[in-house]
Amino acid sequence: MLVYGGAVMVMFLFVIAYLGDRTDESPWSGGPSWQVVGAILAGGAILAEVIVVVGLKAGNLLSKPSHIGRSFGSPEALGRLFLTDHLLAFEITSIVLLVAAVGGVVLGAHARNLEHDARS
Amino acid sequence: MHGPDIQWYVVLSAILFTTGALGVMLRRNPLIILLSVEIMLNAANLLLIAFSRLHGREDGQVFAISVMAVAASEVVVGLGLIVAMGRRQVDLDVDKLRTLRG
Repeated sequence: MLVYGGAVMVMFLFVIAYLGDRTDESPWSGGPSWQVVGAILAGGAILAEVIVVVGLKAGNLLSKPSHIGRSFGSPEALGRLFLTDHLLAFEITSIVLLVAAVGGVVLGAHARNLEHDARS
Repeated sequence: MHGPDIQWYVVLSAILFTTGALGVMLRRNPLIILLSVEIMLNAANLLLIAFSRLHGREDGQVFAISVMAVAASEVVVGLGLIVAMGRRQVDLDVDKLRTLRG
């Protein structure tokens, strides 16, 4: 959770710093118009499909009463699930995070080398 | 403690997902596209947690945390690539980045 918060915060700062002083880049500046039309059609299709399915088809299935105890979603319960039922997902997630961290460092070092080469 | 019905979560998640999909399809800046992908992932996370509460099981929350970890690593690699592109003075426009060899 902390890792995710840090990464997304860095990305938001990046976007704000990069786009802060440029207001000329509107979403539909130039570009082929069929692309814009297709994108809006596809987005509207997703939205309409979900709303129709929820409104018409799944009316009764979604009103199931749930019995939720006080400890639902507590860190203790989640941790127990992580270390028993979902142990494989937990370990794979740790490996994915490790590989991503190494990849980030390698990409950063590569970019720095390129910059050094360009300057000398 | 009773929250809103599940239908509202589904509708909000659909709106968020559509926003992200439109962002990916319409914008040409890779940074904005990365942000839109994050919005789509978070729409999926919202649904996972809402249905996890509806069914009274925590598996959905476990899955949502896994999705968050994957999203964090995706941001790390994507930001690394974009920074590398920026340092090489490449124009940040996905329509102009057509070849893999820079």
